[in-house]
Amino acid sequence: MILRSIFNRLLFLLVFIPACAQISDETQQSNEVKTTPYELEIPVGFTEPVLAEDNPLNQEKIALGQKLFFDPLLSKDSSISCASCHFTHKAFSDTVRFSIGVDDSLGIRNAPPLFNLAWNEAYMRDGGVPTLAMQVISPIQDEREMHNTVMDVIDRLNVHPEYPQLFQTAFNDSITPFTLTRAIEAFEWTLISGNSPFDRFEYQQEEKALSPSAQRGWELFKSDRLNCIQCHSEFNFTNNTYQCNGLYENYEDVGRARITHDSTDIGKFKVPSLRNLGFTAPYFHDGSAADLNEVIDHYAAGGKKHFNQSELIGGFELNEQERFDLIEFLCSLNDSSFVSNTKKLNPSNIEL
Amino acid sequence: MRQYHLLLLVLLIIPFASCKKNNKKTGTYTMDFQVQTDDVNRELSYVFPNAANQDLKIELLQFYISDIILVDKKGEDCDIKDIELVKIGTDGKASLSYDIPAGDYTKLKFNLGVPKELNEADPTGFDDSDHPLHVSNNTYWGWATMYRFFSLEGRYDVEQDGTFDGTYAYHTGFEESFVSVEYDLNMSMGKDGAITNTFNINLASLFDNGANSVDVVTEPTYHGNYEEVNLSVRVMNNLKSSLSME
Ligand code: HEC
Ligand code: HEC
Repeated sequence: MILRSIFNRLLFLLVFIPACAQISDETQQSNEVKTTPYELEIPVGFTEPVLAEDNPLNQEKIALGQKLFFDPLLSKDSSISCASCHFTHKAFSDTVRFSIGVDDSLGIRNAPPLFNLAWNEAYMRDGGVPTLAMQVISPIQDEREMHNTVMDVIDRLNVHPEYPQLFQTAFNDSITPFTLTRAIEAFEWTLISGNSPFDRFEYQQEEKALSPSAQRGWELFKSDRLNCIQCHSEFNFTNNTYQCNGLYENYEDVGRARITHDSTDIGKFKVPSLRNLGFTAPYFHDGSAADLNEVIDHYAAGGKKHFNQSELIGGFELNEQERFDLIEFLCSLNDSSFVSNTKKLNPSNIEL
Repeated sequence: MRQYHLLLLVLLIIPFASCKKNNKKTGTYTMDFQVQTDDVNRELSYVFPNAANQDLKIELLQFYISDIILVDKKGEDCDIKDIELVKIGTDGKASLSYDIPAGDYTKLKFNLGVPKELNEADPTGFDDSDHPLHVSNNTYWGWATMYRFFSLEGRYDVEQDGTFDGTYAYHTGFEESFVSVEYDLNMSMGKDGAITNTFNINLASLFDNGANSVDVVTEPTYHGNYEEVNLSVRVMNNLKSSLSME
């Protein structure tokens, strides 16, 4: 075994001399630069997230990622930042159906909230982006969003009075596509929301955290009549699959099929978390439901019978009390401590 | 980073294992690319007519070639390079050079496009700025998380009156557009030898190619819409047809 591993190492060195420069960088990093390690605080009831190994967390990196997230320098005309579509007071979602990018261009999907991203298995509503770091490139390049190039962002950061030093400290490295995307990824990992009244009730044994009405709503949510929990399951209220909930008979946005090119995936979207719905209206991939009553109307009517619609969407009747209870329950997933903390992250301190 | 190194390691080790490489005996193998019309070497911006008698001008012509392999006379594959970006300069030329083991070769093979495993990789992992897949090449489609295989952009002049009436831009991609080419060789590379193969790119064939023809006026763009992938496939097949080894 040992011999073999020595042999492998030698082979590695021989074949791979240019890329070894990177490895020795990494060793240097642990020796030289003093960064402050950071551990994510995982809420009770959540699993341990599997973070990408190429991006060890430290506080300097997170602070850098945060600064970048709020910096309009990333967009072509320096007019918008990530936070222009992902609002801090809205659990990082947008208030309008379709976000406005540079040159007033209109997006094609509703901007989703950003929290508990470390548990996502894929990113975007169609799951087309495999890692959170890779996701960063998309808004920078998208002509309907920041309409810039990664290299242009790097050139601007390089002549900035603060960024070169901040990258050096956080990564012991210069500003590269790799470090740029890892800084933002690190910041996004820290956006964790798991302290709603429901969490306190379910995981922290605080029986009074949920009103009797919300508790009845929770039972409805789990019932065979409504089936909600079949898709919106586990601690983040998603089973991380792609489903068609029958929003349309004909989908303008093919959803998951954009990635798989498979007609059985038309109209399927990643099952979204139902946390913080109180902050994230409008709902669905195109923001077509203005409030939770409209969402419930959709499910109660049993969908528009698209050919890929899940059998779990069969329709149901709710009396007034039950509808009220269900909404009470959904609202118990609002984590106001998360939102009041993230509001403070906004450096411009805009009165919201 | 670690995973990425492993991937590269695997990619690099395979070639060394399959090709009996005597490190001391190598020669230089060069692949030159040259833009032409009517068998005459041209600069990139040379104006030429298509079959419909419209004048065309090219402003950007670059494409990925991958898994460049020389087959030796025993039929064994000798892997030369996993991925290259051929960027045609304003002079109408591009050139790639490799040290290869001395020996006799009967075939050259490569693909036009980016192979699946590289196409799906994290582009920020290619952190050497000279890497063909580095994001500075501006060949990565962020929203689609994949590379553009071939970028062909330029202008057209419908009346041939010297005034350009519009632009076209084809950025091909997707596995469907990945095509392979193969050329027979009769090449003996001696120690310290130098051999060059020139690949002519016939500009007119990029557009006029029988059933694969592309109409710059009615279908002037391809930007990665999967529903129109057929256009991307046609453009790639035209690239393949336009290439010929001298
Ligand atoms: C112009 C508005 C806009 C800007 C600016 C913007 N986004 Fe987004 N963001 C969106 C939209 C719309 C989506 C949904 C896209 C989709 O599903 O196809 C999205 C999706 C995301 C997702 C995926 C979330 C998930 O649950 O899968 C992340 C992460 C994200 N954005 C982070 C960022 C970061 C980081 C920036 C800045 C570099 C940024 N966004 C800038 C509009 C924007
Ligand atoms: C078959 C799986 C499935 C079932 C069952 C299901 N949903 Fe959904 N739900 C989805 C999918 C997929 C979406 C995203 C649809 C889209 O974006 O167009 C969604 C979206 C939502 C949204 C909007 C979230 C947002 O941020 O936009 C809410 C709220 C919601 N569902 C609540 C419920 C409730 C309440 C029930 C039970 C009555 C339920 N869902 C049952 C799959 C399901």
